[in-house]
Amino acid sequence: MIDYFSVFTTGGIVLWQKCYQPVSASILDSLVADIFIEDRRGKVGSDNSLVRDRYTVKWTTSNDFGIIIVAVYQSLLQITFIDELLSSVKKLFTTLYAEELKAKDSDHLPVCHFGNYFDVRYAELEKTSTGRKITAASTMVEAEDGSAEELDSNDSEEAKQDIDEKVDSDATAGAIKGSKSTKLPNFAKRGGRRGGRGQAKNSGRDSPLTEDAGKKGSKKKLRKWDVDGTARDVSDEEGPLDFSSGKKSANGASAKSDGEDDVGGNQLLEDADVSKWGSKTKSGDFVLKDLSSEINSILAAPESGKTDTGSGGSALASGFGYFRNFIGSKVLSEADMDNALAGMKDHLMKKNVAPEVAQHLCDVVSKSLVGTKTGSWTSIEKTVRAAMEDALRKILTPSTSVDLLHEIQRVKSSSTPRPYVISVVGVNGVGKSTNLSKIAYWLLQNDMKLLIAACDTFRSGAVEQLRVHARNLTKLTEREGGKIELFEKGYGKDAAVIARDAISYGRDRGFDVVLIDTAGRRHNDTRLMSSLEKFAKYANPDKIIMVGEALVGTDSVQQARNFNAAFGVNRNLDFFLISKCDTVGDMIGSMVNMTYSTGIPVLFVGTGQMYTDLRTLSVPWAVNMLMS
Amino acid sequence: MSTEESSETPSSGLVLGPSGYYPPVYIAAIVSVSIAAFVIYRHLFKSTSGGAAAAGPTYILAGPSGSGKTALYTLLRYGKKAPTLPSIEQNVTTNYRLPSLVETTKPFVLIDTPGHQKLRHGTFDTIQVSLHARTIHGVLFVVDASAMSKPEKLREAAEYLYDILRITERVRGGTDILIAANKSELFTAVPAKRLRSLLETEFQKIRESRARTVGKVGSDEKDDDDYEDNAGSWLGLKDGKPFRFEDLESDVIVVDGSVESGKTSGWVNWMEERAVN
Repeated sequence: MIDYFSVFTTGGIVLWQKCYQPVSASILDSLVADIFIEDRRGKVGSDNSLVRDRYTVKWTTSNDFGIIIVAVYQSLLQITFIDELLSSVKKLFTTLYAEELKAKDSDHLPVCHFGNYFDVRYAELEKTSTGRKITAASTMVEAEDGSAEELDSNDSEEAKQDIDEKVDSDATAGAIKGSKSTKLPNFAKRGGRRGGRGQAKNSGRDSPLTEDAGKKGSKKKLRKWDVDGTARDVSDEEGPLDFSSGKKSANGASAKSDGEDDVGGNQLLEDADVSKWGSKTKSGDFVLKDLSSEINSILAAPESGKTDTGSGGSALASGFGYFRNFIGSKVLSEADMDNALAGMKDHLMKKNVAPEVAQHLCDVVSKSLVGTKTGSWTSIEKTVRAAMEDALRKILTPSTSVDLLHEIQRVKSSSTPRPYVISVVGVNGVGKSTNLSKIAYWLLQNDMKLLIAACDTFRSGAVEQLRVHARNLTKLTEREGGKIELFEKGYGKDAAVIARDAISYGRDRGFDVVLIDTAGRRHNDTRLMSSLEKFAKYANPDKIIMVGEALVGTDSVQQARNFNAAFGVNRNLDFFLISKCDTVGDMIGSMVNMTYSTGIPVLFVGTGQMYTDLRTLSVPWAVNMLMS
Repeated sequence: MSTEESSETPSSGLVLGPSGYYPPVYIAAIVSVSIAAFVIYRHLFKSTSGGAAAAGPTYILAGPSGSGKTALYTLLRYGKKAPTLPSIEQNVTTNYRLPSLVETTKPFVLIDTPGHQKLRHGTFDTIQVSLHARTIHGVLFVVDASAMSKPEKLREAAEYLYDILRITERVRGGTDILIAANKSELFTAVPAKRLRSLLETEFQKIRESRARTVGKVGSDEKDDDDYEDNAGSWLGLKDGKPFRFEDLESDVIVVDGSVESGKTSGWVNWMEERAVN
């Protein structure tokens, strides 16, 4: 059902993965980059899934541990339990491997033998989703007192966490078990299995096993072997391990387990014991039932860490928490950030950022910060601000390199030279022709031969306007040796046809670049917009640049979307040119709106009326403007 | 800092003062409070700077996406190659020890940076910070040697390296840069020597087109050296000759290797050579 499931750190190190169907690495890479770096979310409302080609990706993140959990499956399939699977894996993983994940400077990779847990949980959810009950019978067979198990699930949980490393806690756990001797078998099994895991962890950490072994041996004797008989009286693991691994291969219950992990071995060792005292069911079920009961206990346990900090001396904690708003080192929750984010949203909207975009930015920031700690002496406001700057920077930074000159040179010097075609589109009056002539001026200074195609065959004076520009530019650049010519066919003709003719004219005469000016059109006029598709097909420009006003505000989101979609399925805009930036001061939110809604970068910024008033976008400048 | 000091000076003044109005209890309380505040401050300050990049001698792994930076990072740090996906944040360890210098030197900081275009500013910031703090010992610029025969991949790698050099070249003496030609075990891999000359020609092209590009918005207002910078067209410029790595302040070399087949000795040796000075 699921093709690929993986738990990885934000640093990109895969901690655990499972591949049911081979998914090519390049697809996975691009999915991860799209979702977590480029922030291409799917439809509105589905904020943690993305449908791309034939794959659907769902994910969940844990900021405090810095891990991301991703499931990839075929879009054709409807997997109803996927969200539950993700959230339970998140809980299990962060509970089981908390220490490993928190240890930042350890010299070994976090060891996560998660395979069995996953398989069991997956199987369970699959069963429930198909309507059948979990083979609850088998779970109940063993623990005649199911309620008792529920009851002590909590303290066994605590015991589990303690056991992992500390010797004395091991002893206390043993003591607990000893005291409740009436339910000995159940506890023995439980504790034993846990001990097994703790030990596996230790061995993973290359710590000396010897002292461990001694302690473990005594524990085992304490809880178990007096009931069982003499055969198991050995304190070292070799014998039983062999036995259990034989068992394991026989029942093949745990389908996947890494070659070197002794977790599986130890678990099965315990399971073998269980089958001794237990009953007739196949041992395969025991593995299942055993793990599933632990999984359930973990899942049922409340967020232990959080409740602890919350309840521990509430008055003191809240007082100190207030203090921490200023001195930092506070673990952020959504509620903490509400105020700061609301202020931030207002601020952005004052800068002409559309409400929809501002909200999205705030969501991104809030999601990226929940569960993290603020730095020392940093208030929440400061933290949110820094995260917002980061989010803005991420949106505005282009994801592909933009070097127009280089591309033109490449086409020019290729074996089959042809003119490089650039066309500008946009709403009426945004400055298409003006900015086209600015680009022309820049290219002329770089010794290009230019042909300007007047494809605005609608507005009166459009052709004459271009003619004036062409004349001015010729005069201006006479001594630089650039060459510029105007290709015009008067008014009323079809723009797409003129564009095609202009390109073939340019090819014949050896022009380097053809710049196509088009008629302005309202983005919600479907009739006018539909002609763009034909235009894209006939002219097939190398770059389509949309000119957008910095003045426009909220509507820019829709403008960018409609223009981006107007060129047919296989063609999109390539760049934005934001004009009239000199008229808005620091209210340059339109820039963010347009890049956010399409993911297309801003190439140029128009900053005045002169031919030289064309600039490339500086992301730090834009972020400064927006945050000031 | 200043608050503690200011609260401490009056208290010491009280001790020395001739007037006997202040019972010793008050003085003790004031002194102890200021000491406690100082201790807390130190503690907090330590906790922030401990994680910062500028903590010690630093090596930075950079390079385009998919070149194998994170894999190299895990191999260097854990001695084991882990499967990877694109990084979203930096991987940092302050406890990296070079194999042959385990006893002799302090642990190093090893930073693995994301290669995605949108996240590069973070890498530039990191380099800038550790350059400023003079902790940087070297940049390992990891490239996928098997992809360098494709013009657009070569271009991307060259532009990224160009932007890194724009930062490091501003400092006298520059920073040592190792171009780690990864994946050399693959059939299509470009050998180190050839890669060097490919990059030099590409750098020449970049320098030419950067010299003629349109200026950045906002930079002409504050008229600092960023304006002069003009997208870095000055890089390695010497008597109008074509670009050569030799003309740079920084020492740039290309070394083959492979994370996949564990062939990293060339890179590790390079790091070790730079560790001592």
